[in-house]
This record gives sequence, C-alpha cells and structure tokens, in this order.
Amino acid sequence: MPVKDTFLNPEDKSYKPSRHPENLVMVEREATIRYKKSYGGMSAYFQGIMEKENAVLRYTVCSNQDGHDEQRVLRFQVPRMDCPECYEKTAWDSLPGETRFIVETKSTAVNLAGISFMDQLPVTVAWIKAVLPEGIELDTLTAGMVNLEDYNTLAKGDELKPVFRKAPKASASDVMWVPKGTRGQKLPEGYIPSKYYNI
Amino acid sequence: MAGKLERKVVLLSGGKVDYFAKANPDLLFYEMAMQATKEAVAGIGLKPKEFRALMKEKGAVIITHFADHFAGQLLGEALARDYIGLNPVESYRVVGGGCTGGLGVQSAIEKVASGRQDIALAVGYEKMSEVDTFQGNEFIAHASCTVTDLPQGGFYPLYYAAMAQAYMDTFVGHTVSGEELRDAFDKIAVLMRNNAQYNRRAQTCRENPYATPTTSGFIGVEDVPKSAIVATPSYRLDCCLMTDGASALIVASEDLAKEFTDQPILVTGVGNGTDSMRTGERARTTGGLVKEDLLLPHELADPELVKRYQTLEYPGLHSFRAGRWAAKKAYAMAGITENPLEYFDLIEIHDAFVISVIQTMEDLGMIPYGYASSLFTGLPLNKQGQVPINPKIGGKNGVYVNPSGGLIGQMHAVGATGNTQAVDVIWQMKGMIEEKYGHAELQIPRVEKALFHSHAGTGSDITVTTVEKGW
Repeated sequence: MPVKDTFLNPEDKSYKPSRHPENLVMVEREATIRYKKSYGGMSAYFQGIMEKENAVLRYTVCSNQDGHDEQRVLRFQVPRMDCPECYEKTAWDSLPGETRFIVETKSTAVNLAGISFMDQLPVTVAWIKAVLPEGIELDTLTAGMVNLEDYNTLAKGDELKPVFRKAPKASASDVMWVPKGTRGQKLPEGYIPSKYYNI
Repeated sequence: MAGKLERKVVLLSGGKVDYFAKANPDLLFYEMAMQATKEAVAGIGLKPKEFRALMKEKGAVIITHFADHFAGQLLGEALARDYIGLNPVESYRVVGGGCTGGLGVQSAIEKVASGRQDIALAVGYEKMSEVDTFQGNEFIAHASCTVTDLPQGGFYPLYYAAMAQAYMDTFVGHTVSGEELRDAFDKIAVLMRNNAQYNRRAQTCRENPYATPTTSGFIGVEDVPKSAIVATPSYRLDCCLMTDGASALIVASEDLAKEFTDQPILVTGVGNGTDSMRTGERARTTGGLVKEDLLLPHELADPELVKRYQTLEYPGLHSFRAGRWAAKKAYAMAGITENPLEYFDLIEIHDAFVISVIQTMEDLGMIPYGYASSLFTGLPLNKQGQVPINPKIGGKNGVYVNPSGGLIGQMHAVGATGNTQAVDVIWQMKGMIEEKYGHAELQIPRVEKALFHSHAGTGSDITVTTVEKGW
C-alpha cells in the first residue's frame, strides 16, 4: 500500500519531503536477507574465541623470511591463511597468556551509529597491538569493542585484557576488551575471562 | 617510473542534478542521472540526438554508484544507461567505495587515452535517502570487513574519529598543539559549510539544520562544539553529508574536443593508490615514507625533512599511504616537481571529515606531515566566528580548497562525488561559477592548474587527477 512521504525515522529531521507530494506515490518495501556466512579458513580463530573459559586468541605466522619484503617473520591477527607477501600457507599459533594488549588508537561512538549499535551507545572501539612475551609485536592491529565505565579515561598505551562471551554467537564480538585490572563485577554482561588470560 | 596517457584527453563539460539534497523523493536515481547528463550534453552544444549519435559512433559510458542496497537495485547502471538512451554503446560500472566517482572519471579518461573510444561519459549517482540515517550508516559500515570489523561497533565516523585520535597522538606536542589542531578542525568545518552557502545546488545551502533566522545558514566556529560529539573526538559538524544526487562528465580526445570547445582542459596526470581495507592492517613502518620511496621531488630536495621522515612511523593510522601513492604517480605523469601548494591554483578534495582535510593536504605534499593545521589556523575570524568565504589556503602562493563546499557542505552522494569534483573544477576553470552556482563569490579569478581527489574507506582506494588549462 502507498505510504506518505514522511520520515522513516521521526528523529531524522534532515529529511525533506517531496516538493510535489500530490503527484508522488511512495511505498514501503521490506528486505530481509539471511546469510549462511562461512568463516572459511579463519574458522580456527572463531573456534578459539568461542571456547568460553578456555578461549584462546589465535593468530597466524609466516616464517618464510626470504620471501618477505623485509626478510622477517610475519604475524597476523586478523589471521590469514595465506601470506600476502610470499603466498605460502601460514601456520597457526595462540597468543600466550603473558601477551600484552596495548591500545594504539580508539574512539567512542556517542550519538550516532549503525542500526546494530544504535541502542548500545556509547560504543568504544580500540585498535589493539598485541606484544608477545619476548617483546615481538604482531604485524597487524586488531579492532575490538572495549567495556569501560568512563570512555574518556581510555588512552593510547593503556593495557587491555580480552574477555569472552559466555554464550558465543560465532561473531568477532565474542571477544571483548576491558582495561587491565578490571574486577569481575565490572565485566561486560555476558562475558567471562578465559583461564589463559588473567585480567 | 611515471605512467603516461597514450594521447591527450580533455575534460569537455559537466553537469549535476539541479540540487543536491538529503532526500529527493521527487526523482528516481536514473532521473537524477538524466538531469546531470542533460546539463553536461548541453555544455558541448549538442542536441541529445546528436550526442547519442556521436556516442554510438565513437563513445563509451562509465556509470558509477557505490552501494546497490541504498537504492535496493542491482544492475542500476543498466537502468541509468537505458534511461539516458545510450544503448547499445559500450558501458560498464566502476565501483570503489567513496572513491567510486573518482575511479569512474579516471576510467573514462583511460577509455579515451587508450584510443579505444574518442569520447566518454562518466555518470555517477547515489540515492541514500530511501533508508533512514541509522540504516544508511550501517550500509556504509559494510564497507569495512564484515567478518572482523563490522560486528565491533562498525560505524565510519568512528573509524575517522579514531584516525583523528591517532593523528593527535602522533603529532600533538611535536608539530602542533591540541588547541591549534581543534582550531583548524573548526575552521575547516566552517569553511566548507559557509562556502556551500554560495552554491545554490549545495545540500546545506538548501537544507541546513544549523540555519537560524539571523545566520541564514552560515555557521561560526562556536557552532561546531555545540553540534555534539558523534564519535570522540569528532563533532557532528566535522562530518560530511549523506546525499541524493548525480553528476556527469564528458571527456574527449584532444582532436575531437576541438569540435566543441576552444577552452580545452587537459588531463595531465592520473594516479590511483590503495591500502588495506582493515584499518588495523595498515603498515606502521618507521621511516615508511623513505623506505617505500614515497617522497615527492620537492621533499627530497629538503634534507632536514627527509631526516625527519626517517623516524616517522608511516602511514600508521594517521595518514593515507594510498593518497600519497596516487599523488606521487599523478605528479610524476604531469611532470610536477615543485611544491604542489604553490603549483596548483585549485584543489577539490574528499573532505569526508575535517581530519581528512588535514591528512589529505599532507598526503598531497602540500605541507610536511604533522603541519597541515597551520594552513587553516591562520584564517581570520569575523565577529560571527566565520572564516572568509573561499579563502586562499597557505598564503599568497597557496591554493583554493573546495570552493564548492566539498563533502561537508555541498554533497556526498557517494557514487557521484568524484564526478562532482571534476565538474566543479571544469566550471571553475571556465569561469562558469556565477552561472552554475548562482553566485560569483566562489569564482576563483584565474585557474591554470587544478587537482581533484577522491577517496574510499579509511583510505583503501584513492585517486588523484591533475589538469591544466589548454588555452
């Protein structure tokens, strides 16, 4: 059935209706899409973060140094099954409990978001650097949501710890992040620590 | 090594929708494409029938739109091409996020430069209003990795705000103070919005939530923090628009162009750079600018600058390597070796957010990394907190930046944005601004050399195109 030319969202005041509404026909159209989304070769990463109190963060390594631009080992999280430099298959490893997770940059969405997060604001996302116990940094940063009491307190260089969804959804958001030293009662609802990563 | 165009290409003519709007329910997307095409065709003095005959004889059509899901229509480019009566002319769609229009324009140039065709029409459109803003934000966020990044608060203003934070963490206290950087952000936001008030087709000229009876749509720097934080540290007025609109551009070989104009605008350089889609996968290489041979000729001539860049982590999250790559390639093709701030008279750049302007001025080599805010902090303010309309940036030998109002003031109908920038450059170089914008205030007195720049994602795809007057 035709609908009037009004706001889809009443708060969306920028929308200007038709200049000629008497000549215009509008209709609502629903589009629901259900994907059966495969994580392909990355599945081992998702299996790792879905293990609740046994959850691990997995990454991939390519040791084929001669094939790399700077002749060094490359480490990827987000994991890649294939090395983008030498095209060899990478190998899986897990980030040990002593890994340090450091904020590289961050922002908090306060007043606007995509539709999936509009009811969860404020949402803080940090780009996080993983530093292995031997002091080696992974070559990529991982993006993750951070649970904080006051988002203004988070800064570059702060140390975070991962927590994991008690009822995993097979989503990248099955891992979330909290400042180091966060106590149990202040963990995000539905998330628990893994025995591998002391918070 | 510099690439080259196999033959000279001329930007002949451009057209836009009658007005850009947050929503234009009165026109279908292909009706918007028709409006823009009609104006471009009129600009070369041909009747539509003559134009279509010429296109069938020796033409090609490049159609650009960003996201099928905004209009809920796959293969919309075919509908647009049908609607402007150009079947069975060869045609395809080019897409690359926010850089879609810029890539389309370059594809049209290459069609002609290669000799495959003598004339090409590049039409871009986007209809973003048929879903609400939250849904639109979600759609745009699908231009981040949907496996890893979208589920984690996926929202483009947040990505850019995080890059603004990274810029602050890298440069504040070293090359700029926090107050100076915020001052520059505020002045850029005001500059773009207020320029657009003299562009009758601009979205904010017609629809401006910040207009009051006394300000008539102009804003001052004090309005920026009042507009509320969208994502820390960025305010709403730091952000670009979402727009319904279309733009069209006609390019031709130099020989064919002579039949239509004695004012040829010659393409001198095209560059296209790329970087990782996931922001976190950007290289963070100490001395990356030097190691990756990304310095521009005028920078290489400055040993102190080269020394400084040997310790700068690059691109990190503060800069766009794709933009630097695109600029370097375009400048090399055009033979530009001097400081581009002094070389160009006009640039239309992709100001998706105020931080993008700072980042882009540096990527384009207009000023050393970390210092771009100084180009804007010196702009004087009047009693209403407004910078001058269409000021020259960078002093007497500087450059005009986005007289159109850019993405913050004029429009960001994603698939049409790169086309729009090219059209604005044509109109400026041919002295047509009063006719096209309805005001003479934004006309730059003499534009000999210009650049337009288009940008996708958090810097995944960027184009730089340089042109010069051929008369």
